[in-house]
Amino acid sequence: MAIEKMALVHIEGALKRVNKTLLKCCESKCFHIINQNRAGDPTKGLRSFKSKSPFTPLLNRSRALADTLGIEVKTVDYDDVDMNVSVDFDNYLKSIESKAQELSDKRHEVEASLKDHSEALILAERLTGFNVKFSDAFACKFLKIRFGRLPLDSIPKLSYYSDRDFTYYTFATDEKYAQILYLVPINDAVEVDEIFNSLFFERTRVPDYFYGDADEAKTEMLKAVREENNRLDIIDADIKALKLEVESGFQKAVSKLAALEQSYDLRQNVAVYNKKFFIAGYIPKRKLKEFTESLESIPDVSVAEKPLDSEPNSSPPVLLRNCWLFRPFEMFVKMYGLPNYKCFDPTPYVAVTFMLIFGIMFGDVGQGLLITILGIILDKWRKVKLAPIMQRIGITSALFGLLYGSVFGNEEIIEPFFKIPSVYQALGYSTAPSDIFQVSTILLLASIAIGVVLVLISMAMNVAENIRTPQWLSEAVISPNGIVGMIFYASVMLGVALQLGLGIPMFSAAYVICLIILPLALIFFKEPIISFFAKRVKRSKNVNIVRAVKTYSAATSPLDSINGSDEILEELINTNFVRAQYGVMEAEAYEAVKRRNDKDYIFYPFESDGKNVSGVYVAMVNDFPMTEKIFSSFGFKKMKMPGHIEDIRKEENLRLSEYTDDEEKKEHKSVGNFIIEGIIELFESCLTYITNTMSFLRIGGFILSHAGMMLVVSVLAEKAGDAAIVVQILGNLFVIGMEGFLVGIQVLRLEFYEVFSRFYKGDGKPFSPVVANYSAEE
Amino acid sequence: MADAIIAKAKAIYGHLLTHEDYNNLLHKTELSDVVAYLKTTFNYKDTFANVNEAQIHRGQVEQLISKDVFELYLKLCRFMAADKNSFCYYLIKELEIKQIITALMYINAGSQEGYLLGMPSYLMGYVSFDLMKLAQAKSYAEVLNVLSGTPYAKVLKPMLTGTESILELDECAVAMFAWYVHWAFKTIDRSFKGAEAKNLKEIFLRQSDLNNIMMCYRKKSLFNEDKEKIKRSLYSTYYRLTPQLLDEILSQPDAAQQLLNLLKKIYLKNRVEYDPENIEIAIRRYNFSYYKKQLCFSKNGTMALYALMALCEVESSNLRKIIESVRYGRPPAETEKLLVI
Repeated sequence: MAIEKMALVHIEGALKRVNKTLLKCCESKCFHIINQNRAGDPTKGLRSFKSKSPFTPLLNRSRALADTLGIEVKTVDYDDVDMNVSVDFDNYLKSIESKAQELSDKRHEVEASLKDHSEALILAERLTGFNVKFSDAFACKFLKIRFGRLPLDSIPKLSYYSDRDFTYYTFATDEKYAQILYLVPINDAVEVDEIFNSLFFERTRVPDYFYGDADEAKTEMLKAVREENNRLDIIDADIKALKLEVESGFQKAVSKLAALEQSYDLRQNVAVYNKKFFIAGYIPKRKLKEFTESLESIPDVSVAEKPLDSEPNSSPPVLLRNCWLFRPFEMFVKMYGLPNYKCFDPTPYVAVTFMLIFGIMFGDVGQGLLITILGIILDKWRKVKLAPIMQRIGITSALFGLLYGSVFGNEEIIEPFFKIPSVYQALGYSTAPSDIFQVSTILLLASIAIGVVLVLISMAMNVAENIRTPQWLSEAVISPNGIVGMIFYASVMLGVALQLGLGIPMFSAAYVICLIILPLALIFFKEPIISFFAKRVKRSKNVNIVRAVKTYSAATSPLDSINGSDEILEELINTNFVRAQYGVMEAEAYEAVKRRNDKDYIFYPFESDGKNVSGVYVAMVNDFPMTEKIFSSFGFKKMKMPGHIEDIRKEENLRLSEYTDDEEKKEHKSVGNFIIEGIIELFESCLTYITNTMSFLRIGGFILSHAGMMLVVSVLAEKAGDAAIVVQILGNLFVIGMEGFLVGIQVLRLEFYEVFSRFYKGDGKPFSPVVANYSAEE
Repeated sequence: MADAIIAKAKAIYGHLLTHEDYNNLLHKTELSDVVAYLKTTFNYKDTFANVNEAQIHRGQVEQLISKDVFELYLKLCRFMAADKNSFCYYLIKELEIKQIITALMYINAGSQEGYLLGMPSYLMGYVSFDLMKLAQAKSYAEVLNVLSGTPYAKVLKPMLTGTESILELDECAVAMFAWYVHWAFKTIDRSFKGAEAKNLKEIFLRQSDLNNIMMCYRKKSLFNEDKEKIKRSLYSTYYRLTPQLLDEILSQPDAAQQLLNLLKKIYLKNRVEYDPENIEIAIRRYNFSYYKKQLCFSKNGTMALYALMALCEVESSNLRKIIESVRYGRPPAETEKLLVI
């Protein structure tokens, strides 16, 4: 169960080295950067970078060039590229652009001509049937001829103008338009053109290179289109030759350019202070040494490892690390959500249970091996993510196939386990069962047994995961998935199995009271029990805070002694016990802070001008990030300790005794409400135990369904005569495709619903190392 | 069947243009851009398929949009398997009246060709008279001749017979509306009872009230016309108004303001934001929300059909305004004020 151990590193250096440092971070491919903008508080003199990258226009140009040449740009190794500044890249791109532009212009010219001729070809096709030479038609001295299309709605309206001197002819019609030509005496042309325009006539200009009739024009245009396509082919060949010439170098240059651009973008995550930069981030611990050496090779740059919890608003990211056997199953875990850094990685558990359950449900030697082979092919050929999983589950399927004695549905080649005398006798059969359907009851009971074991393991995982957390009592002990739940569930299941299976009387009064009723009662009274313990814990915690603050007060009292002295505050901030932060907030917000009941901190007001209150908040180290968030939500501005602070503590209502008295107002709940809620929750928990257990019946169900489907295939094959082999092949492929898919989904469902829901939260943050990826996106 | 038509109407309503569509359209600067955008929308992709947006004329775009609404209406009527004489065919009557009044208007203006150019040829075969002959009619007598055999001839005969000079179109419109309301009430009574009949009739009564207020306001505030002349252009059916109330208001020196107050009090209330300078838009917005409500809550299929067609008509009108604004370069913010959305 491996989550990669992370190290938090702080990188500091001279400002002029920031680009090189970021580029190294990118090249390391293992640095997860933390945005330091929050540190850009002007009161601390920190700022962030805002300048635009000089590489962006170059990258855009390179994208355009890649499009022109048809180069697929991908990230490649660019170690031998000696270009470093924008001018180098500019000159390099210009050298290729000049050649590419010439070819591109030629191409556009031919494309434009091709477009014209293609449109003319469509026109010639539309005019099919016009068997007068265009040259003759346009040579008429006293007649004008117009080609175009008229909306069908306008055709009836032409009858209104029957007294005008024009005639029209319709070539073709579609749903909305009629293709027409009209003839008009030259003297009336203006008036008639106006009429047709008002009827929404769309004129088509017949090119002056149409000489013959429509058919001849069509032939001419076909020839022209062909010739232009040939010219295009020649230009494309030239472009391809240029592409081959420059492709390798271009990819390297663009990869470096993308890396520089991306590292430049990363500057927004960098804090700057007094000509020095500051970067924070996480790195896998095993790569720390290599990373540190790589960065410290840059002059004026230093790398320091810090405790993981020293970044208050950031938690370590999660990178799963498993052996080759389990690694493909990380996909399922990521699908549900990554584990928290502090929790364990469930991938091995998922891998083992998935392979096992799939094998049980889809046990067939032939089909299993076929799935493995298919997995290998898909993995090599298309890199399908599911393929490595197919390889593994195919093997378990084949192993269980050996047990069931099934080879492509044939149960006569290998002897099934239930036909071995010692086995069937142990199962209570006097003669060997003829087929698997006769042992169906045993299979279903075994399925439930598997389910019970898996549910108990999941509960144990929940206990292991929560036992060291502050919620240990509510999550790991008195919980349906905690120790109490485990005792109840295991006792009931064991009792039922032994009493019904072996006839051993289990449910004695002591057994029922101690192992069934008592756990249920604890779950029922969970809330008051937890509340009782929480009060005690809270009180001891508050006493600790109070002690710390009292120490702090004694050290700083009278406050004059700390005026202008940052050391004491620094001392307090750096103590391992509590942390403190000085700052200012609005008086209204201060009132709201005072009204809060759920305090795990103390706010010490020092100064008030009526509108604003300045002071310091103190909290336990563990609670400090949360306290920071609370104060941030109240608009608290962090500041350096000022020179003059007046003691106004005496005027304040905030008293330390408030913390020791612990007069928290709890939501009042009536006894009736408590009982109803308790009963419903208890009922829901019991129902979940039953449904979760019953859900595993599908394991046995699918074994029988698989056997049933293969039986159908055998019967069909027998009846097919000579085509039996074809039916066998098609039937097996169908079963693999459909049932294999269904079984996969069902196993995943069991993992997610019955197993994961008992212990897994999936609230981890993925490890995203900064890398330079070339992307075609703008 | 009612449930089926209501579901279908709601589904069609769901595909009408959205605020985002209108916002995108408002910022187009060329008609071709508007058409290209409409080609990407669900309702208009077929309408403008095969249309060359670079060459299309504004009038043709408007005609295609109107035709689209009409074809949708016919499709729904066929879906309802309605009898040709049922109330469902109300839109045919409305369009017939509109064509007759438009044709008379062009004859009045001495430019009958103008009617022909805008004439919706797609109505041929659906209206009860020959549209081409109506377009060719050059006098009122010829119009009466074209309409002979239809109820409109009887309605218009007193006004058209012997009239040589300028015709009072308002009076013709009032007479036609009166006939239309009479026809509508009769067909509603034949097919519906109780609340359903009442709700359908209410549409016409509201329409009449709102039209009368708008007519009075426009004629009083813009032209300060004589009270008696205004009264001749008012519809004769009343719902929440009374002839006496209007008469009383029109006699007041601040009649325009009082009409606004009346409109706000009995119809708009606080439900519609409006600009006193443009009460037509306010009334259209009121109608828009009224029909939306009817479409959402009515259990009557015919009411759903009526409400949907009214909403489609609002959309067509909005598109016409956008197209007009694009043509004349009106700023998007000003056009937006004219839209009913």
